[in-house]
Amino acid sequence: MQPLLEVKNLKVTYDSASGPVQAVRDVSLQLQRGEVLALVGESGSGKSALTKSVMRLLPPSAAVEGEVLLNGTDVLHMPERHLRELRGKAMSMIFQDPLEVLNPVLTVRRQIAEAVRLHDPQADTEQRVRELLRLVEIADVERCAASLPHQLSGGMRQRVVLAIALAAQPQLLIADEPTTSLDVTVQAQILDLLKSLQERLNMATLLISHDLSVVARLADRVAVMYAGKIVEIGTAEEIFYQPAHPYTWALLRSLPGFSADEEELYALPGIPPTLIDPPAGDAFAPRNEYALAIDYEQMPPFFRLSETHFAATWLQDARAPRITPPLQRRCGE
Amino acid sequence: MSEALLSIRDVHYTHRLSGGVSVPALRGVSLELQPGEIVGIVGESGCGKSTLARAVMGLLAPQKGEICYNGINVHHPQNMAEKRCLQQQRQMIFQNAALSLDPHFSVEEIICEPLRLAQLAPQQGSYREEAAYWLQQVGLDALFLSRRPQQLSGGQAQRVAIARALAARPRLLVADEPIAALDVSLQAQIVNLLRRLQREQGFGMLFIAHDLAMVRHLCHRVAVIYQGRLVEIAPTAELFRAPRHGYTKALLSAMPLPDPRQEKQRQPQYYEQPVSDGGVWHQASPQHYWLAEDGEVGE
Repeated sequence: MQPLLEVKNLKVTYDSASGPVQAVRDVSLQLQRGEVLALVGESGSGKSALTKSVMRLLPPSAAVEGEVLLNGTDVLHMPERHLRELRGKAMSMIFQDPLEVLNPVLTVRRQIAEAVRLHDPQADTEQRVRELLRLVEIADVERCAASLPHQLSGGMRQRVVLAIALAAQPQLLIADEPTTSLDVTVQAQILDLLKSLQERLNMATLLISHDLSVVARLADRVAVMYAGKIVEIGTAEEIFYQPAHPYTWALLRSLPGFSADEEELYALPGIPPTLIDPPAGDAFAPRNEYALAIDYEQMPPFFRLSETHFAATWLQDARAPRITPPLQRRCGE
Repeated sequence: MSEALLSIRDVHYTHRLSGGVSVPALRGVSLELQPGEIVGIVGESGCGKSTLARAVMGLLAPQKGEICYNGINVHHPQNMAEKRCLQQQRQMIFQNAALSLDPHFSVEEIICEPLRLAQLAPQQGSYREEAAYWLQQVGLDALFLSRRPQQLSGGQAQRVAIARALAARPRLLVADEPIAALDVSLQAQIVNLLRRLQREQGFGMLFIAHDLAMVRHLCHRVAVIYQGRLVEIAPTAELFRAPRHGYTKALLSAMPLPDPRQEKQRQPQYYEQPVSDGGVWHQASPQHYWLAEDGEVGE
């Protein structure tokens, strides 16, 4: 079956004062209809550059190589005039801070109506606004529609942003840290809403998050990014229960629920490499306590661990020493 | 009884907005922090956590109630010595640290300013070395010494703010969501640092956070605030094991776990009842108190 989204050998390079930054370095991935794929990794790992190239939101100065196919259509070379059709109808995006997206002086009704009209000038906008607000499970539709953004709570605002994003029934939703600014109870509600929408509308979701608990709740599959590359990809269960890449181990170990030591959390030593002149071998090697000599010279290929699980680490090579992952699960006790 | 490091007594604060609108933020909160103790403050956004932090720092004055640091009323210091003591010994890390750094100062100046104001000699030889030392503690290179706040990323600014607060050698640290903006691996590093320094130097800390797993890891006691009222306070392990107030139960049920099988089955409870100004405090165990509404049966 043709995947909804296919990224092939994507490379993104930005210009900076100190030289070209290789933000995305040869990333390939596929996303099926109705599937939730989470991208996790630290700031600067390339998550945003990757999603921005999928949405064609990169500045013109960014050099993009490779292919991004949505329903088999080449996104990277699509003429500008077709992009409006692409953004909104084919794919849509929500961000961390709804207040940055919403217009502070327009009512919710006007802002949703604008999105509706943009994609379907013939639509009964009043009717559609109410439908969309009900879709995102807002109880008092009339009151919400008449409100200005600042009159709503953080959770309500994120629902409104979601209603706008869903106005043209996108097949792909890109959610960039959608619940980071919300507290836990509201976060749980928004995550459940995203899950139910994605199931009801058979919408694929690309979830960007640094919060592994959010990822655990929502994602079918997880891609772990480091220094512009995917270092491990698998189903959520594979990544959380049988992680294979030392960087994934490090991410999990630094959480209070996973740390073997009750006193001290595991803190990954060192800092991410600059992507201006990335190292020859595995970029994670200098911070990796399990690094092998070859890690400093040669980039590890993807080793296939199952139909769905791949990890780019030389530890999976037949000649490598066997290492027991340093994870002790204590969560949920 | 030993004197509390911080004593918050029946504090009420109402935000007065334009157009005669008033929004109550704190409704009679009382709380004591002992020297060397870390108390976590949790609750939904808008429940009054940050207002409480600001009141403790003297940044806003409660309409009713009193806040004392080491016996000094933080809103009415009696003399210059008390004022200086408050200034140097209480430090705060703000939620949005980038906005709390003066854009005219270099990172070095920002970190050393509280020391210079308090006329404290640097422990590392020179002020510059002192600043470099604290940068290294929060995982930043000495190259950052000459940078200005606008040249820092959000995470870097957050760490500079943490370095500044710790360099001042506080006795009381008020940390309002200090790590929310940081990557997971950095969060661990900062929490380890806070914990280590707190042990070594014995300062008290109010740790405001919505990351319940981190609160559980770091804090000795946890205070739950709901709609501007303290509704439950208990030693951390006990609160997580046996919450009594309905809101605490709902909050803990919503706590996300990094475990896909558990996460996909978990059904969070919701709690939306209003909390009245009345209510009766019940004691569940020596240090565990919770607020029951009048008429509600205290088991």
